[in-house]
Amino acid sequence: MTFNWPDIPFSGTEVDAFVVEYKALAEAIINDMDDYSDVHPVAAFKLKTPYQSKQNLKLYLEYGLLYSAFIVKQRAGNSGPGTDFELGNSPVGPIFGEDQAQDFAERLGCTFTKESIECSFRNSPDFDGSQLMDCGSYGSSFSSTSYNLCDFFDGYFPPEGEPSLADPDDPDEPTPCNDFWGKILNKSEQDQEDPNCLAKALPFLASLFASFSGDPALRLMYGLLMHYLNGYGGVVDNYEWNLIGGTMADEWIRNTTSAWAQAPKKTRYTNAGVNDLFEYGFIPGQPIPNHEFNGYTVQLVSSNSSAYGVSGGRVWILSTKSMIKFPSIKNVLGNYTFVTDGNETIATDPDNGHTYITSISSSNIKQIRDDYDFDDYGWKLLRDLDLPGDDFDNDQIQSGFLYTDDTITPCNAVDQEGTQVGQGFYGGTSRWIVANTHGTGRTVAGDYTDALCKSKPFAIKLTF
Amino acid sequence: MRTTHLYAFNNITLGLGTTEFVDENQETLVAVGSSFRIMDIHNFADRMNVDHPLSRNWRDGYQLDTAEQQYMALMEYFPIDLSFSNPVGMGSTTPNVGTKTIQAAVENVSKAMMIAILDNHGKRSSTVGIASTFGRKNVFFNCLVKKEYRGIGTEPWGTWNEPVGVCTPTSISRSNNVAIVTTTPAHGMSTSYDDWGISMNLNTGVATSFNISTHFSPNGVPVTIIDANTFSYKDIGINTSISSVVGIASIHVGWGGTSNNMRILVL
Repeated sequence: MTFNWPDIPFSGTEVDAFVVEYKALAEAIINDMDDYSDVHPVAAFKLKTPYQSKQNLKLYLEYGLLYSAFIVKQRAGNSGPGTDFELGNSPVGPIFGEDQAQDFAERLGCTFTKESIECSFRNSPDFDGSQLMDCGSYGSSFSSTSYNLCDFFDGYFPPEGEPSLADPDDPDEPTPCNDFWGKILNKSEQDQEDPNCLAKALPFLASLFASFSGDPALRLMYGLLMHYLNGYGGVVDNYEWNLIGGTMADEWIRNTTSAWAQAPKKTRYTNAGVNDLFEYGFIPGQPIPNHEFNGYTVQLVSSNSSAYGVSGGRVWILSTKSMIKFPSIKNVLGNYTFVTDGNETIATDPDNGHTYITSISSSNIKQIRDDYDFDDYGWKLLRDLDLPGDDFDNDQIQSGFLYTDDTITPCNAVDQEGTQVGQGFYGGTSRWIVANTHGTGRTVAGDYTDALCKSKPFAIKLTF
Repeated sequence: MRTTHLYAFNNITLGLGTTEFVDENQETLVAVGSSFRIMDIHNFADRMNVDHPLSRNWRDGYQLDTAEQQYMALMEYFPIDLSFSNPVGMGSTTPNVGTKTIQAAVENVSKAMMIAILDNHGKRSSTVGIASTFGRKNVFFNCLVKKEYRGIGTEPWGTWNEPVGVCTPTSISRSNNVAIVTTTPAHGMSTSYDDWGISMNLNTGVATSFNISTHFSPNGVPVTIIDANTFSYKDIGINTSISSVVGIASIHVGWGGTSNNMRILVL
């Protein structure tokens, strides 16, 4: 792939050397990168969305050269173009302000209303000319962009038949956000946005059914969500944990943590065995997702656990991201912190210097800590001055980062998260419920107050 | 390539001719004398951090700043798909979608290359550092990977955000969403540099509302130095004044140098 490098309208010892190195590194990066393949030194799928495409990254590298070279030139401070630009050599051309850009686009005939965008989208065929959102015909092929959209728009667009124009006056026409509670509770749009106790009805029923189960993961999954939705707050200790998850639920997560913490390194191409099916839910013969931390399930946080009240131990984060089994600790806590007595056996991966656990027993685990919060579309616990699992006060609670201002509604927040939405209750539905019990508008740290039907994050600290 | 996206590529944050910047209190200066000069600031939208607010803390990818951009991200090919000769559907109705995101992407890539190539991981340095191409590639990609894949022992996540010093605030006030901090002794930030940042960590009462979340601003927020004992930073909140505060302020260094002021000279 050949770069189209821009002219650098200034020179100097430092900036010239920088530009040479920049171009050489850019060439090496692009040569190493292949779209969506697991290549050295990083797989494309691990990159944030805009950088996963080789063509896009090439563009960013080309345009980034001028800016970074400009900064180097400024820092070098030597005279000549770059410090005193001639106007024609400026890296910055005429610019539209936000309003100007909007006016310009509208004069081109573009409209920016949601209805217009949706209308256009629904009438847009797939790149190969086939009907958009004909999800049934794509099968398991992930090569189609429309197939990826199927998850996102599941239930909002007709699966087959001619796409029709969205008619806002048609009560039968579903729209991504507004129709959700309408379908379930027959509520008005305003009622859907306001926090209401009815939002807890579904998880309560799920929790009720789960309580009949002997599976601590299932009981905890729904029970902890109910604890959050009910706004109980506080710190869940072993006693309360066992009330929710059943007798010995604390020992269950201790044992499961121990087993998963010493799971061997996996690569993307490691195939699962029969035992993996029963223990972790992996399908025998199929590739196992590589673990989050350099191929391992654990990340060493500190070799000194004294701040956690445990002397001589280590502090680890356990990643459950690669676990497939349902329900499991992944669905209960996601990633969380555990503290050991320091008697686990550790090793260092020579390839990347990553410290991991080769052997640990459940008795080595002295604490399990986590904050049950939602840092995107729910409530977030701030831990700038203390640790996950510690007691907290209301001043440490603030809205998740998707609540960017006072006008953001729960539906707005979940719509943004929509690109990540999974399916089923614990995918999309629970997010609407969690967001609903947050309510409209952003709450900054120090302003949170308890209220009826309002959710609240809580801490979890299990000690052994 | 659509016109507005070309603009996005060509510009990071600088808006010549505007009189106020989102992240700056400084106005554009136009001087007419023996020559015509325009003084302006050329810098990143986020002057302090490795990445950009649009992408920070997003679990699996990139936070998009408008709902419409969801569509573009889901189509996997943005902005490259916008160069279609005969765009249909979304592309034809939303030529402005993605502008901020593209600017953010160019900004992030520029930062990643500087961190990978320059001495001192790109901070205040104009000198090419000593490193293998392999090492540079690792650092570059480590800047751009999703949060869960970061090598936290590798730069920039190893030490980049660490403070370079502390100072002791003794009083603080907020007016029109600008906080003014007085320190004793002097804060020690030299006016020779334009890239200082601060993380406030006050301990009591209303003063805690001035604190900077390391979650959202891991390398602090940019400050304006008023004098040897006083500095200010943008801080949204009610107008208030506290004559005695307890805590510390960590001092950070971000993107800049002795001066990143761009001087356009028309003779």
